[in-house]
Amino acid sequence: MSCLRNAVFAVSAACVVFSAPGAAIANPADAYGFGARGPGMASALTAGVDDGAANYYNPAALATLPGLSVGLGYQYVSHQLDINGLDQSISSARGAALSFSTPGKVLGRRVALGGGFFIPDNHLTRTRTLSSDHPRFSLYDNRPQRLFIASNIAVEITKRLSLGGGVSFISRPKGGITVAGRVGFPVADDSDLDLNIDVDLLTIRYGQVGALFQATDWLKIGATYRTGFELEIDQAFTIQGNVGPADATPVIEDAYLTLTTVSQDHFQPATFTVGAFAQVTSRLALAFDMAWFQWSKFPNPAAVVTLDYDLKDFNSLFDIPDPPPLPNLNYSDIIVPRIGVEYLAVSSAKTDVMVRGGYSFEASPVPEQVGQTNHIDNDKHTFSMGATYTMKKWSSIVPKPASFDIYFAFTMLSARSHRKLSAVDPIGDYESTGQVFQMGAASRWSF
Amino acid sequence: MRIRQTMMHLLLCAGLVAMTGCGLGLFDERQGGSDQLPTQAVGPYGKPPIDFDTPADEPFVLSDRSASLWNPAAVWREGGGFRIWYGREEVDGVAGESDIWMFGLASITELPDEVETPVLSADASWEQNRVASPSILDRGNGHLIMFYEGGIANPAIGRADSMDGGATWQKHASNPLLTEAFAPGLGELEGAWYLFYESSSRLGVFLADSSDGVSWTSRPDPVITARPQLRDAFDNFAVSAPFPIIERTAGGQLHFGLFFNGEDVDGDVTIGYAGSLDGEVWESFSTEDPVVDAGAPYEFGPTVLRTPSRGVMFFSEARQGRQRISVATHP
Repeated sequence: MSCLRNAVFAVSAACVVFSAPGAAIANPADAYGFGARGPGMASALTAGVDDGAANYYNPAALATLPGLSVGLGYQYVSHQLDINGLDQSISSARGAALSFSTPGKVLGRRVALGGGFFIPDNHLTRTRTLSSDHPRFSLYDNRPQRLFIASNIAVEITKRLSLGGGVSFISRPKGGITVAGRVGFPVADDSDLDLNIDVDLLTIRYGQVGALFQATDWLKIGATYRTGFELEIDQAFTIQGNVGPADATPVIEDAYLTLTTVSQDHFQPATFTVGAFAQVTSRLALAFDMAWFQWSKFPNPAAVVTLDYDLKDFNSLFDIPDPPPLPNLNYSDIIVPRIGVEYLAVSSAKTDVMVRGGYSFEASPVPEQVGQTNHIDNDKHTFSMGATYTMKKWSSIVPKPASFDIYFAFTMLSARSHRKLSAVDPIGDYESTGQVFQMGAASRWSF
Repeated sequence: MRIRQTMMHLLLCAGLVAMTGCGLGLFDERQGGSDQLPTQAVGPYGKPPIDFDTPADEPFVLSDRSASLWNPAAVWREGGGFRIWYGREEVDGVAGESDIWMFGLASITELPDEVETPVLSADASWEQNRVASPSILDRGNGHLIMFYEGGIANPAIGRADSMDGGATWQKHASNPLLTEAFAPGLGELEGAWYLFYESSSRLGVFLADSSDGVSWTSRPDPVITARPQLRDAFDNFAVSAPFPIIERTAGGQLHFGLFFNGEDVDGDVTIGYAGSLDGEVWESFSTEDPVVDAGAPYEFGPTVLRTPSRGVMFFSEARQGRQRISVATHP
């Protein structure tokens, strides 16, 4: 068994080291939680996480897990978000949530490696750029449609204190299409052009660190920090060469036209979270988190399109103005409180049944939309509940406890009115509201 | 014990199968994106292109070889579609003499399913054989209120009520309610009545207020006027034919929207839009452009019906020397 554990640890180490480049992290977990226990407690698990979900909630907790653990689950989120009473058909977010943790010892200290994955089966990732004035629920647009991969390492510093962290990367496309040769004139079909496509997937670093402190036998305190990032899509189309008929002097020699678009595909706010987990009695535990999100750095995601050209003697025929600057969106930083409760309802030699619930309030970082932009968001109240059925010795193959979790959560978006300053605004005033329904199931295995 | 263990295995297998099913996309559903985005439907409006697969003669919804059809007024028809009233002037008749007719339409791609029918004729002396430019207010339960223009040499505005959904009309005993006025555009909100109109003595679009829809007080100054200072504006010569939409918005604001005709110095006439949050200060939708794709020779007399996510505009448009009822949609 020990050999098996060492082998798994070695393989995990290799995965952590080599899998990071190209991985995407950003973030349905931020919106809906990760696994099944966390979402059942409104994600108030920074100090209380006790399984592979630590890869999202607090990597430092990986060092406190007793053995190799694996989690497998499925999460489903359905949105019913309305503007003026009309459902906006926001795509569901759903996929498999996987996690693992492999403990070991280095220089006599507990060290753990872990990984967390959310693999959507709807959109592995989605890129959609809308104009500034296009109405959209900005926090539910591209954010839930992401592949999430986290790889972490944690170290037990003392018996009471653990630290952990991970670095991941998200890829962004940059490149363009170049068409070079001769553009036929006056007969376009006479063109002689070559096509070149050159696109790179560049990486952006994204990191998280966490700390977990066992203050007393019954109280744990945790903190995490995730860096923010902005993901841009940078694309260009260029056509260059001569313009004119074949076998004749070109009408324009060595001309070019380049169309460049730069837009923000995804934004992850920097996040700092502190939390506490109190085992109030042998059966009852309370959890509390307070998270700060730096939404004030949110840039306008609309595309900036620029046109550059050199048509020689014909340049004077064109006067293409610079694109107008994108309006500032003025998002605000927010603090999100979360509270969870967990109760051991049934406990016997062979089975346990745990029930839990939670509540969180997330004020909207988006201001009332009074101008030409229509980034819609509302204050959110989330109520959640869940349960875990644990079998302590159910099979000789799996001698350690195996747990099966389910959860349900309901997020209510408070009705919000947006009153335009202009009487001729094309969209006009509107009211946004909605509900988000979440559910999921997971199993957790210890070896 | 063995039975319990078997049951647990079955339960676990069922769970794993369900998860796998989800992962394979067995529960696929509609994708994101929406055709229900909010709009104030101020524009731009586009005329539907000719479609040989529909019976309609796009962009026209009604034409008549023997008459010009002017200034439609539309309401939603119960059960779907539209009911549209308009002024009808015989091609071979006396110039200016006109009656008001009505037809019904299931959709803008269909031919009328309620045939054209005369509903209001000029039988009062002040009307001088002319009733035209209907503006309809739907009060619900079959109660429609029509304001219309009458008279040729001395135009004025009168009122008629229908309690049967527009089949029959009863002219108001106090007609005409507003003199030296024509081209009415009627609106009502929270007990306050608003009547936009053109004056026969001054240029511009004017506004009169009422608390009962009968006694009207005109505001002294026009609410919108031509903009000769804008050389390329569609309305740099004249404005006319107002059609208002007055509402309390989803944000709780009082909002006046006004579609109207604009004419430039070259004589081209098309449709523009202005808005106001108080009925006093007005703002143009676009600096210089109309809200309808302009097409020769002109679009005239707009009326607009809206849903939360789209707008349908009917207006009169000339072809082959006669005015026809035409349509444009937004978005």
